[in-house]
Amino acid sequence: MVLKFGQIIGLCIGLCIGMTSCNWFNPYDSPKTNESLQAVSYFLPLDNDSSVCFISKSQSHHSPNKTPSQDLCIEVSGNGEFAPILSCSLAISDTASIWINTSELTELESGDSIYLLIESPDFEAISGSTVVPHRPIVASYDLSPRTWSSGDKVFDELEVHLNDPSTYSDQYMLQLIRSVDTIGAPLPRLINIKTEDPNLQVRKFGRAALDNALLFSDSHWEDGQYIAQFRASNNLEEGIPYHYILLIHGLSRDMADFFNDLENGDFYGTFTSGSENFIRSNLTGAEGCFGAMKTKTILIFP
Amino acid sequence: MACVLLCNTSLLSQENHRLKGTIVSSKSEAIPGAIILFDAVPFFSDVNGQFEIESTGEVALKISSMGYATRFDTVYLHRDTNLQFILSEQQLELDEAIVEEKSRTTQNSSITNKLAGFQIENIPNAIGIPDVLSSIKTLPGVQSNTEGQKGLIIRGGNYDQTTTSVDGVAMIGTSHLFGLLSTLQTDCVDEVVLYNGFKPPRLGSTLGSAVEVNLKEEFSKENSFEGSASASAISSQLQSSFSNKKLFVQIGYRHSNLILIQNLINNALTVNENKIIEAIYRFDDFHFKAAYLFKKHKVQLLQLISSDDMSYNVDFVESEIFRNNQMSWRNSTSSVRWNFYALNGSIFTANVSSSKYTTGLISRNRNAYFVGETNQSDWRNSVSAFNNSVETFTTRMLLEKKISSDLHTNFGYEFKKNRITPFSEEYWEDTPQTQPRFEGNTDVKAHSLFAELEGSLMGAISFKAGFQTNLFSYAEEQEFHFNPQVSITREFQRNLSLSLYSLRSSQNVHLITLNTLGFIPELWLAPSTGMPVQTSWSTGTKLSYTRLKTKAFVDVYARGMSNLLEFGYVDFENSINEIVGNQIAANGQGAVFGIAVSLKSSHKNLHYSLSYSHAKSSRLFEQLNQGVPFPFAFDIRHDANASFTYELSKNCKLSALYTFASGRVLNINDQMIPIGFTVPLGGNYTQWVSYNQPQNRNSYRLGNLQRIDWSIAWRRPTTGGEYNFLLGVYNTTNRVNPYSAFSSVDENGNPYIEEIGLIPFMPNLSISYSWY
Repeated sequence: MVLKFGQIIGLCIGLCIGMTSCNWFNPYDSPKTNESLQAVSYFLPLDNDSSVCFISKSQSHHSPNKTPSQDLCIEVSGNGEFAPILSCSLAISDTASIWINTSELTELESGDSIYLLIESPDFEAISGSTVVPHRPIVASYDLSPRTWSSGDKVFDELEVHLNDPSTYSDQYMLQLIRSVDTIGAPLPRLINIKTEDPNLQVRKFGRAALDNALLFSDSHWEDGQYIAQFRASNNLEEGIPYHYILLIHGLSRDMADFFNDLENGDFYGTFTSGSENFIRSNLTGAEGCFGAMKTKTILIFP
Repeated sequence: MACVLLCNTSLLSQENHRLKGTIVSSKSEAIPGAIILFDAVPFFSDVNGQFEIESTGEVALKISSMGYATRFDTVYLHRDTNLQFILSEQQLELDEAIVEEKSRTTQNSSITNKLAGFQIENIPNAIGIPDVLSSIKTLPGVQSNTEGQKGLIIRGGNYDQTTTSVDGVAMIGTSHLFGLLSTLQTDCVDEVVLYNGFKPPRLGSTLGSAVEVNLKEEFSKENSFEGSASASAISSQLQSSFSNKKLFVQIGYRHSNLILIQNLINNALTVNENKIIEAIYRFDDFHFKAAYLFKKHKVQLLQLISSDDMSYNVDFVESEIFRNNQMSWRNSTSSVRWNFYALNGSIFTANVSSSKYTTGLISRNRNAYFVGETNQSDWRNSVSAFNNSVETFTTRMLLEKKISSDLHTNFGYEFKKNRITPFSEEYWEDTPQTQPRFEGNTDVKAHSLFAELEGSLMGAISFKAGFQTNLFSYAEEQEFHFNPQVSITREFQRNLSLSLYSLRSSQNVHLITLNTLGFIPELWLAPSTGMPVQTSWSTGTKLSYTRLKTKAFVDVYARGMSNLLEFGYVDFENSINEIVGNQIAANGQGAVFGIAVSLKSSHKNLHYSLSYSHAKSSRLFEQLNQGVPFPFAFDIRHDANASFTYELSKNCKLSALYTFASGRVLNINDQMIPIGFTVPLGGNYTQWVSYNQPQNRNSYRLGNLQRIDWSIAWRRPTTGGEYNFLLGVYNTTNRVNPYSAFSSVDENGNPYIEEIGLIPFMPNLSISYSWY
């Protein structure tokens, strides 16, 4: 059989198509570059009289933002028995901290919804909602001073017995403050916590800017109880009086998710959906988190 | 290449007679280097076109030379005889026939690019030193904007996708000075052929292009001792060869002299007085080749060793911060090859080779470390190590056979075994800890059969068709790949031809690079479950025009790749098992299309070459970049080269090279977003924490590269040798051509991206003496 030139070309093209059909995608189908991101972080402490809502814009390394001042108003409302709270302010930079009087929210019950609405003539409205978490229940606690050592460092060991406040999945964050009880002592400060318990995740995502904390949930609890064991370095000279302030926060689900995503991203999380180390957001119109927390505060003396 | 070989076969006896032949063209011009095949043994005509054999009775000769029609003659020797053999010119230009292994008679070269040794010397590159690698980068489709990058980036693949075959041995890591210089000394290289679109199945062990380097191998009638010695600010080099009618031995050694210009390098790198940079680079290479002819056999030994060491230290003057980085690359390759020249003109080749390529990085950095217990910063030294080794053992058999006057075939079998050992660790110097060894798969074996048939159809159509089958075995897995390939070339007119080509390829090792700095770290991996063998297809159309001294072509191509790997978010604090297990995205795809245009010509004493390519190369990973395509790190859209050589006199020539290329892309954090937090102290305390927020993956494109290099070469013949002086300048305008960038903050606290260059204006004077 003698092939004509046209047949040979056809055969060749057929072979080419056959091979190229294996895989192909349009290389030019690239996403648009995000011009700028708006972020909101509002972790509402329901036991405090006031709270702060943070609003920021991403800053490009290519061209710094030229953000004019922005008027904005924040409204917090809910299905509890309180009137919507309104706080307006003028943001003059890429970052703004807006203080809100939330004293009326202390009466909210677990399971109530709270709504957030941020409006400004300079950007699209930002909205979100969260659910009031349960307050942690501490059955007992124990402090064993200077009972753990590593090298030349001495640690106090602490133990907290927790009871599950509900049948729902509850999320917690634990922080420890140490106060030295002498005249002229430095201000109380957050203490880094160490633990061997794999169920207690040490928060590192704030690095040096935020002292660490323990994040955990009740998914590992048995019979509605759990004993959290951890330790804190004690570099005080023996005999100096001090005490601990233990803060156990019950976190709303959205806030726990946000903190866990930041932790899993190890400072490299992104707000880009579908990306590696994606940080979830429960806001519309911005990235970030609107969460709430109810705190149990305990004073512990050695 | 002109060689003379005397016949000394078993047929020789006291009754033998001498045949003195002269090979000439139809214009009675002597043809040096013609191949005379007698009794399946190849001989070569000398510079005067003459050769000499001894035999008796009927002597069948096959005489061929590039650009001439092959001639068959039978001579009856009953006394000493002088004869002239006239070869008629073919309708092909000289460049259009490539003779390999001195007997391969046909090759459709309209889909290849070839550089002979003399062409390499004509291109002013690599800081004034003629070099194989830099010369290839001037060819269309080969990316020029790879300053600071190792190897060759061709048609949208990383440098692991390009096979570099040196005398039939595939090598990994053939560059010095981040890709500026080849580890192959130009004086030892005879010819370089670049297959950047279509490649023979025998070179098909990687996804992309192939560079076939043939080292010099010259036999002589009498004992001959040749060599050269050269010195420059870049390196000192000595190469010497001995040859006679049976033996050829060549040894070469090169050692870097960069320490001589250390101050120049440091001053060029230190652009900020608060950040003093010291970069000390040293490289060496050793080359040994020996070939021995006996009867119808040839045995060849080859040993190539190269090493690069770099110390890159940054001292931040106003703080205790310092960075100390030690990098090294090693390559050692050995091979034994045996050729048998059969009576019917077939050539059988068997070779065994082993090679080991290692790459290492050790970083010692002094950093501010936040101590939680004291709530203060302290200084600590961190240590990071990243090592990789790729060991390859290959054995191959190849039979090349001419079936008829216009049909040629080669086929064979290859077994290749790779052992790849990655390692990574990072720890504080005051609390050293040992990371576990790599627990993933390290070994992969490949059994391959390959075959190729080339010839012509209906006169004006030539074709190549072949395949490679591979059976890959790794861990508990086995993969069978069948990779067909075809190329058809139609000559429309005497000077115009159109080629269509298409092929599939497989590659049994993976390379992943971070690409922020380009050369560190490189992570090689064997395939494993979830990371299968890579595959690709390539297809293209090439229109070629050839006339007298002018050669031009337009090549349009597309490529697809599968099973690629890419770093996701990688944290080198983790063990290598964690990095490979959780921080690498697998099963990625690649898509590339582009066009390459080339023109080579000469006018009187001016020889010039112009090339331009436009390409788009993307990657697609389900786990990365929201699952949408993103540009490949070497997605260089525009790449153009113009080289000129003007012969001022018989012994003096001036060369210039202009290079333009788009910047490559980086995946750097080019956006920062502050997030506010409350800290429960005193009730009214807030804290902002800034998080880097990368925009789309590889979204930052570096600035363009533009460079002018030039050189002037002067040759002074002496009795028994010649001096060569080469004055060259790399990057004449001292332009800062960016090769990487970092997110930084200016003195006002504003974030910005700092682009950094690598190689400044660099003059070099090279003096060499060659003897023969």
